[in-house]
Amino acid sequence: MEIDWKPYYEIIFQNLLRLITSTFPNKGPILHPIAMEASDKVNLMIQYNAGKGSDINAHLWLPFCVKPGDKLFWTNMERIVNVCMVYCHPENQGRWTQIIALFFSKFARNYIKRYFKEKKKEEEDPLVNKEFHLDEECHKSFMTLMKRLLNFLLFSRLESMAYVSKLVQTLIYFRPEEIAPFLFEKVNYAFTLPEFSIMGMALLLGYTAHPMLWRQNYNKGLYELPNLLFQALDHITSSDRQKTIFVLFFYAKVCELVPIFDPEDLEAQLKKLQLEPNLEIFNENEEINFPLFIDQLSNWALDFFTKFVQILPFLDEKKIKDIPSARGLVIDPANYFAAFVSGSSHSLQKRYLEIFANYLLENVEKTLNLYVSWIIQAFNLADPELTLKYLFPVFKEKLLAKRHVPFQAKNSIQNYLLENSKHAAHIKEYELKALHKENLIWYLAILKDLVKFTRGYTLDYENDIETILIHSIGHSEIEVCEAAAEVVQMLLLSLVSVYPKNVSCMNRNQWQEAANLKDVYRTIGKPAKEGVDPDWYQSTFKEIEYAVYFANLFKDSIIQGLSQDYLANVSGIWSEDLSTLIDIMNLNLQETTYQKKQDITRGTLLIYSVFQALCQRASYKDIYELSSTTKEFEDNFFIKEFDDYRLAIIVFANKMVYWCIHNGYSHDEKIMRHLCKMLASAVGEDEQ
Amino acid sequence: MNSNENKGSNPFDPLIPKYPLFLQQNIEKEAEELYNEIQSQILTNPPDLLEKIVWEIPYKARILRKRYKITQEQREFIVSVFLNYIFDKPTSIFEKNAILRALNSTIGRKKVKNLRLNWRKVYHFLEEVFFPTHVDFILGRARNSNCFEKFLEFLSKVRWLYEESHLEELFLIVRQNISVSEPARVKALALLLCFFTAHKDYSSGYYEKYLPELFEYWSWRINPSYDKIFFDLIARLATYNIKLSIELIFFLIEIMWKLIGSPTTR
Repeated sequence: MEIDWKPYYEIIFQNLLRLITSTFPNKGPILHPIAMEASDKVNLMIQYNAGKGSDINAHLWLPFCVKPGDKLFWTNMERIVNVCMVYCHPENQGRWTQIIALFFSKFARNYIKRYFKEKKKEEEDPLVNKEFHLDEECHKSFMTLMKRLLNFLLFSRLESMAYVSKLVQTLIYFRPEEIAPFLFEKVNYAFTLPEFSIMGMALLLGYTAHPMLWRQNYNKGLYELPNLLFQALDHITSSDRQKTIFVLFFYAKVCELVPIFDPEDLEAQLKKLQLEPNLEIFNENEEINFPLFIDQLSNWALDFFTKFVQILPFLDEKKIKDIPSARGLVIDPANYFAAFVSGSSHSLQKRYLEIFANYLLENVEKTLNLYVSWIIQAFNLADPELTLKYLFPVFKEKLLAKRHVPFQAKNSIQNYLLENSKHAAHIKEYELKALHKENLIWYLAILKDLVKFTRGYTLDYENDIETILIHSIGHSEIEVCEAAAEVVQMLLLSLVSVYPKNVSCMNRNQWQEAANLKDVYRTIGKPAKEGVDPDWYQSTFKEIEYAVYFANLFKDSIIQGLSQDYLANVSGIWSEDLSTLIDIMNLNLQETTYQKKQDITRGTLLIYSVFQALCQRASYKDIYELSSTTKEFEDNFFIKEFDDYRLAIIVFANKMVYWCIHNGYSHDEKIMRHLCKMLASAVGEDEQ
Repeated sequence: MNSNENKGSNPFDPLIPKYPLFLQQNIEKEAEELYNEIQSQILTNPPDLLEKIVWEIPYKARILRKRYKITQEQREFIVSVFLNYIFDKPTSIFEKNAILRALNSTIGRKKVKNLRLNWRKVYHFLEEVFFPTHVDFILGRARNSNCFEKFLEFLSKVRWLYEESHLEELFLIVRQNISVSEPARVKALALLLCFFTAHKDYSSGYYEKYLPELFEYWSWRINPSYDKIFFDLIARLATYNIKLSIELIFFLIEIMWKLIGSPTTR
């Protein structure tokens, strides 16, 4: 349907100008709904709507009404741009700049959408009527207008930069040869300005990283990369946390696309795959020295990591407390280091780990930091074996010391554990170093991150891990025991969960093949969907055996111990009615003892943590009758060794609740919370 | 199915072949069984069918749509039943609300090509349920705010299902209202926003005859915020864009509320 809009241009553009200027907030924030009297609804409604809404929806119509040779349209658009430019000037920026940037980014997106649609039509059917299709002249006028706007918009404040970035991103996909050099010129100029702010620029570079580095789209974007990376490195400081976060965002976006090789690693890999040593991984007509480029990138990576670790103690990004009920492993999608570490070659990773291990050795009294958690998770996702090899000895040295006096258990839970432990002798040889409670909790929290996603590699360190955990459980502070329980839970989750082993954005395993390594720099930015082939981790027999041993140690032995000590005379059938139970509950307050309370709290906490980790793969045998389809799924998914876990937990919790009511422990919040949650998980209540 | 043969053969979800083998299931049979169950429930026409349509079938349809990917024929059949119950059967506002919700999610973003909708019926429904001049004993004085929002969403999804003549009838109503008073003008514009559509099967000439009228309304000294409505209307003509932008839905809801009065001010 091709309607001739020319006769209406005057009224449309006049109204567009009115709409643009009327949507600018000129009196503080955008107006909120005004309370309205029923008698004067309509007048107030108009008054209310006049100041509301920050979106100029003309972007839907404008790009679709242009026809080839329609000069009047472009003249009118030029007038609109002229008016808008006044509001985009760096000296006159405000919320209106955001509105303009948003409007033009949507306009550009729809224009380009139309162009690609028409292009596709032409490719499918060469005889299609091209009379109304956009031509080169239209594109020229469009690009001229956009460049004029960008002259000012590129120097916008941080608030408008997200929209400007989207506009630039769209334009680079459309005309990379024209926009990219223009952008680099402006960015390099911006770095020289005294009032330059890295935050907006890093956001812009981060958003435009893909179209700029996607080699199929723009071949030369990669050439500017080392310069930009090094320039941004100067802005990582301990004094301004915000700046650092934005630079990290930019780096993460780049690392998602560009692999970082140590030159020696690459050479060795090429030789191994019998590829030519004169680097046939590049195109012939590249305009830069690629070996130098690889060298520069690896230097940058090391410089960045060293600098970041140096300022790490001063970055006070506190770790958000994990939600304890997490029953699965969660990969943090906002982790800025995941791409950086997994995109680096093996020997670079080793160097990072050395630097990081030194940091952990030297900085004892530091509060828990989100970045530490991110970095460890990134290392674990890339190569858990290497991470444990480098980092675990640090923990051993920091936490354990040889014992000089004979071992004596601190509480009965420790006794139960030692009776059933394979490494009881080893455990008795060591003791926890006299650390401050906070530091101990900090180390245990890092240990929790360290065992996350480690698959079965923790088996090599099982005696030391067990020693640390059992000693922590015996610590006089209950918080230390809680931190140890979280480590137990994470270790078991990492053993029995199903998750992809190659959670990196670049499928590093593919570089093991000659054909893939050859294209490593040619295919930068290629859509990920084609390349992703998850390599799933599924517990092997050995790992399940370890999980069962761990479960027996931290769950069954405690259940057995508590049952012997407290539940010997409890039958499991509740003979009293509710009102009697409430009376008993209120009368038995005085009978509780501190030591018993501590033991039961620790015991129930550990049982709950272990069960929470395993229940995802424990069947509902003897609890529910399931349909045949679910049963088929059960047979495949659930681990047979865990079949009786749910019932055992229900029996124990039932008796324990009864005992607690009769002995005055039901007023203890922690004990009852663990027992209630345990029961809920066992019957699958939280899944419903 | 825990077999190598099944790897990559599932046509329903491109991700499933990438799961570990023991998590892959053959869901083709299950989808068919579920649809047959829904169909037989409707076709046998039991006395409590309305209850089933309100309480049971929407959930089954949701599972069918989300878990197994519903086919176009199945979608059209379920949608036609829902439409029948909304416009032709006497149902309460609560039932209409539930069915509208299910209807919107069943249509989703897909086009139900083989259905046709009587524009008059939809318009009368809007007038009678949301702008009532008398108390309807079936609907009662029930609060209909939720239902109204869902109905607007429904309108934006089905606008292009009306017959060709609906534009003529629509403009007749608009002409009658637009110059009467300010509230009537707002209502007329809101009706245009709800029902005006562009269909690529019709020639540009068919729409061009309404353009002078449309631009005449626009040239009147009216509130600048109405510009958004007109830009949306002409964008539909330029792009065949049948979607109502989300912001405009909210904008329209506000306009409508102010016309019919919110439940708290009535």
